[in-house]
Amino acid sequence: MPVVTYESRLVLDFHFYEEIIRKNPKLLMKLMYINANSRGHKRTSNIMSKNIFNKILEMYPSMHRSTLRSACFDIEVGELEEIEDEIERVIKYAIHITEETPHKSIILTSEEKVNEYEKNPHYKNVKEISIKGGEDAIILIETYWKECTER
Amino acid sequence: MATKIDVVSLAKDVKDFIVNTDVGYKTPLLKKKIFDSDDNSFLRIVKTIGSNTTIVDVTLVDDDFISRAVLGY
Repeated sequence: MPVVTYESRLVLDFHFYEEIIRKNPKLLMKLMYINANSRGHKRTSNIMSKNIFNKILEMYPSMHRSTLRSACFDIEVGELEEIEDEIERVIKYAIHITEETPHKSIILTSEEKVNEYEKNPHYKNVKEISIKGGEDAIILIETYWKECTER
Repeated sequence: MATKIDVVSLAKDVKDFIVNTDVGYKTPLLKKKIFDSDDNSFLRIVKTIGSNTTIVDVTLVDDDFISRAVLGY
């Protein structure tokens, strides 16, 4: 299985897990492959705010920390983690990780939340990040997954 | 006192870890289960970490495993 230089790192929010992963559990496995085969970001390519990560574990006890951790790194940057507004926090984490290669990130969320992100003042004029919701997010994961499994 | 932790990793990474470190096994079958697994499969490894690292359980992470974790059934 090849190591892949992905065009962007992925930032997952709660709504993505709730609306997309819960309806398509196999996507979690695909995120695990992407995370495990990302060049330069092995096991940390996909990220999720630690607060959101812990909320999922609390809400869904059948999910093991190690399984979710394999699909996404529970990032915790003090000042960012303290931001109460979840949309703002996710945007700022997405901006934060663009300091490293590949200098681009994509926020994955539910279809319904895309508009909220796009209207958020912290998102405006930031060229390094983009947002994909619903079916677009699923297509992106499928594309990334194929890159590490079909070469 | 040993601490029990679990990790989900690609089987290839688990094998690399094992051949490069001093690891014990609760039963010899666990070692066989790891080395018999496809490199590109995911394994959930439960291990105790202390003065010695001992692998105490190995589970193949397949679609059923993921479905049970996500949906609870």
